[in-house]
Amino acid sequence: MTTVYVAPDPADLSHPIDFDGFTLVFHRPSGQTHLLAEPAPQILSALAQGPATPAIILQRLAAAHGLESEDDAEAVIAERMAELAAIGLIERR
Amino acid sequence: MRHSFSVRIGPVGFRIGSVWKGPIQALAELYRDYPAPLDGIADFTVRLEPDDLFRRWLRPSVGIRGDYILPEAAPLALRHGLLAAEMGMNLQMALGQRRYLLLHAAVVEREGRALILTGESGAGKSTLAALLGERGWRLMGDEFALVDPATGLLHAFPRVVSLKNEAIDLFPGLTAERWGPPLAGTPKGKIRHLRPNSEAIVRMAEPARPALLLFPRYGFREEVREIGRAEVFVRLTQASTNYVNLGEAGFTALTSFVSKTPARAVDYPDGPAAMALVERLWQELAG
Repeated sequence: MTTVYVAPDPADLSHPIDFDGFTLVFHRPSGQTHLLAEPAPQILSALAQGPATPAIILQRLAAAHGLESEDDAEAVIAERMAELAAIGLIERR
Repeated sequence: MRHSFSVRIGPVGFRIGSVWKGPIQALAELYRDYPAPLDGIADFTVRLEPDDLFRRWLRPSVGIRGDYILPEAAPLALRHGLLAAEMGMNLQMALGQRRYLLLHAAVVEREGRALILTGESGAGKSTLAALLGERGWRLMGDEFALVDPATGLLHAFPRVVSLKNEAIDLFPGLTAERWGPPLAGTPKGKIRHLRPNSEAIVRMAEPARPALLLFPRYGFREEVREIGRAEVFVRLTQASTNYVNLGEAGFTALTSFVSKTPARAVDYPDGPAAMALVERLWQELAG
């Protein structure tokens, strides 16, 4: 829960394309196309404000989208961030 | 290579060479109305060679070679040399084409706008495109749609159409000169090549704007379904042989194509139903 993640260099990602609630991005260093579902694109945007733990990302998402924080929200965010790190879209610091 | 033949199909030049005269002669006959490669330079070379030294004379079998090879490509009997040439040409395109984003799809055109039919093998897209090509549409190709990443336009690749089994009987009115020799007992059953009509060949350098994308399925009760753009995108990456190779140019070309082109999945029970369905959807949806 205390892992700090860092956003990708903006130059590494293509302009995101929104298709019916899904977001497509092309990751230049790996040449891979990623099809992201909520909340992954929102996590990427929140992380672009600066390196953060899942708890801080949750605060930023709550502030940006006016979300009520639910009990397991931080665990869900942590899982999604671990997945994003596994596919190389964000990095652990 | 002792025998060779060069041809241009759409924007792509091929040179096909073989130690055997038969397949080259048959190919030259099928493509007799097609032009030569631009400036005489072929983009791809296909070689039809004996699978091993003795196989040249003894139960000869044709190995498919070229600039790009699939090591596991099974050799074909010499009497199916024409099929080997066609597979070789497809293989060079699938593995080597970098200029265009390739979609495994059939394409027909009307008034500068293109209808793209894609789907798995056996979905009937070749047959459907060939039928439309005889009913007022221009056949742009039955195997590959070539998307130009720079313009978003589709380029034609009107190779001869290989019709399989019962599909061959759907074209009763065509003269003998439109057909290649019957090939029986191939790995795909009975095959006969249909030569595209003169309009398809004369106008093959004319690109078209994508206007409607259909995912047809043959042999089901008639039905039309909407498909979300994310699913269309994923399906088209699977239908492309070179999406990954093109890198970001492929991503940009394909996302733009999907953004601009309306798409539907269509099931159809038979040829006449498909024709009517295509005309209706074209009127309703084509952009």
